[in-house]
Amino acid sequence: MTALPTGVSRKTRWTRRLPFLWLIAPAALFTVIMTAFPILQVVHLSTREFVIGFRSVYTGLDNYREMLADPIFWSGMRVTFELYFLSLAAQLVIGLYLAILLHRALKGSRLLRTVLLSPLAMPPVAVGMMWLILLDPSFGPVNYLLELVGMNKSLFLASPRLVVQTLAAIDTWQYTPFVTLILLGGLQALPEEPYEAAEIDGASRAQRFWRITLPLLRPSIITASILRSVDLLRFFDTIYITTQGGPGTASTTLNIYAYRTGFVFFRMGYASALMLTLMVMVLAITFLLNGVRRRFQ
Amino acid sequence: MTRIRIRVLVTVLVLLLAHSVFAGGRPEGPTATPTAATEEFSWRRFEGDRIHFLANNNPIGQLLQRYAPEFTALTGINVEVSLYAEQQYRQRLETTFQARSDEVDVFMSLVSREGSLYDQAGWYADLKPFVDNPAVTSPDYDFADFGQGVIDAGTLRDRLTGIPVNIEGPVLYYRADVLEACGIPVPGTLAELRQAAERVKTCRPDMIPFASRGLAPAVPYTFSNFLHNMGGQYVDAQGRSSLSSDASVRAIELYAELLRDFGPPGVINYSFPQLTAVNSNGQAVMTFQSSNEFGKIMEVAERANDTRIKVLPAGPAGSVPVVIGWQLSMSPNSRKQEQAWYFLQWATSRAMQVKLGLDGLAPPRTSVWESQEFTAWLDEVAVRREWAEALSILSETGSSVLAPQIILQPESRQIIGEAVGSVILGEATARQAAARADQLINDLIQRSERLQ
Repeated sequence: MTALPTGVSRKTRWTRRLPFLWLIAPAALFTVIMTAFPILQVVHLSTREFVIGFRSVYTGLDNYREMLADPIFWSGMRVTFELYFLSLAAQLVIGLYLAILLHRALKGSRLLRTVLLSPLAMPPVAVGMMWLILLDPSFGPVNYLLELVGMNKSLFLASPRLVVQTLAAIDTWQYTPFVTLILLGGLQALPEEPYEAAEIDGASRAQRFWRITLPLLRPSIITASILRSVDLLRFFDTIYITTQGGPGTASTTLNIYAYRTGFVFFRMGYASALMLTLMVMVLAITFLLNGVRRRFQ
Repeated sequence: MTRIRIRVLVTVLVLLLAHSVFAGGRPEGPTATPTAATEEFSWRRFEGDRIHFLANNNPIGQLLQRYAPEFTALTGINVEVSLYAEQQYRQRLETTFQARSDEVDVFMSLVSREGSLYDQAGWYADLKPFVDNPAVTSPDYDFADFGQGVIDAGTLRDRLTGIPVNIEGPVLYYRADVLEACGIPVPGTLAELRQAAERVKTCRPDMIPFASRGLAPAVPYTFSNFLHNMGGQYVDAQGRSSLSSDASVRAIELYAELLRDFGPPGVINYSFPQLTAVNSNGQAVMTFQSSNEFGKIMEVAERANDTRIKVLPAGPAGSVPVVIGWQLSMSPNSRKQEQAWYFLQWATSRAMQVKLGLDGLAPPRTSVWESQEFTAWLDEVAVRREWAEALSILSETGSSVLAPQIILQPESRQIIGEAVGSVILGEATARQAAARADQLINDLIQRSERLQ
């Protein structure tokens, strides 16, 4: 749209813009309805005792009070963050290593790239099913191989002690290639000059990595962290397929707990309070990471 | 002028959009006019119509999907069968009901689990008017052939919520050859069952002595039989949760001990698919699981020779097995209720029940058990006859109490399963787990009462 000449009154500007505003109104209204309405509905439901199929009753902040006293909410919070930190750390470290490996034009790197990126193309449900079979304590091939090399069998997904680590490993297997792709793009865009200068100054490989590569790659690392954070805090599909939050509540994340509360136990009011809390957490972490990114830019 | 036209156009668009958002998709309720009782019944009355059947991916759903083309050949009505794993099928169904969508016409339902909730929420169409209408019910349907017990179980607040499609319950499958080779007598009591598991562990360390359900929401199906036989109960005379009673605690201890010390590794995640796997491949010596899985297990030829079946051995309080039945129900929002009723009566007709019986589904119709085809099939292999005898005991002496009888029963099943699971995992003693479960279930009972 061309800029209006200065000196034109505010009223005239509005009058001239009005036809155009009317034109975008349906799209704007649609967007508002499709995004704001569900959120407002969740806020509304979170203040009610609402069991699917029955009349809902206004209960104010009772759902939130119940949530704060609910041990599964707190264990869900712990599991959510354990999974988040474990997976994110592993994916960033391994992803960076693979990106550097692929960045160097090694022989066969194209094939390596295809193989490494293939888990990303698999649907999470298929990944969950595949690992469920691979890690089965009775007939899974992973335990067979462990025994073959003289190691003890492991319960993996059936052990309350190991289940979070196992789920983090499965997610890392699938989504590290995603981090690798982002970091590889970042590496390829790095300027040559700092490296030439470092070489002239006689910097070692390690020094070049810690002092040049890592600081310059920081925006890409933060971008990858933001994108993975949003997914990891809402971690659902793999858990749903492999453990359904078990054994006991050992892998019940907030998302799984909210799903079960709403769709298995029909308590939509309480489930909405849980989901809203999770949404606020995801937004807070995203804003925090965005702030960090802006600071480094 | 142009500006006015644009405004009018946009206003119309906005109104249309608002109408589609707020009113669109919601049906105004079933509109089909009931067929007059004076008309003559014809299977071809609704030729060319289409109905949607939402089913659980268990042997019942799978078999009805397999035979659905026969229904189409008979009636000309096309059936779209959607099979989902149990949890997903319920989620889909409940979302459909909540939206009052007419998308689903016929669905499977486990009245012992969700009956009270679905009934209170108005999610079952009353089938009695269809049964009583000769214009839409085949003259040879013979509704009285269903036992009064199974019909009563599906009749809630004087409304017939579904037609039973099977009867089932957990039964003990055991490898008679292994027990014999180890010199272990077939257990006659729960105490002997524990001893047998212990001796199998020593005699055949490569095998799984005892397997049953460990996955929390699935546990009550098998655990309830232990609870009943040990003399425990879910709710006391005052209507309060009573898992902490001595008998109930002993039942939790025994069930958890059997699975922890003699069960397969990772049993905490076991439900019927995993049990059928270890049962079919012969790894498990004793498996306490659904009678519905019989057909699948017997697909492995060796199992028909080495496996035997009986009800769970008696405990201090005798033998009170668990018996439940799936039913086929009709959505109250369906716009094709008569067509849906045709599918229901075909699936529960005597001819289909015989067919399903020969596939290993225990029929709820009395006449099928006495039919020549079915009895001949049972007599072919010894284990089939044992399966039938176990089911006969289940239907005569069984209980459908698998959890407190409250509206929010599904949540109570999860609590019971988690309590038992925490003992299997060694995270709590049976008494601690029971006390915690009692507290949670009592809260749930109160919440359920508020809904009524």
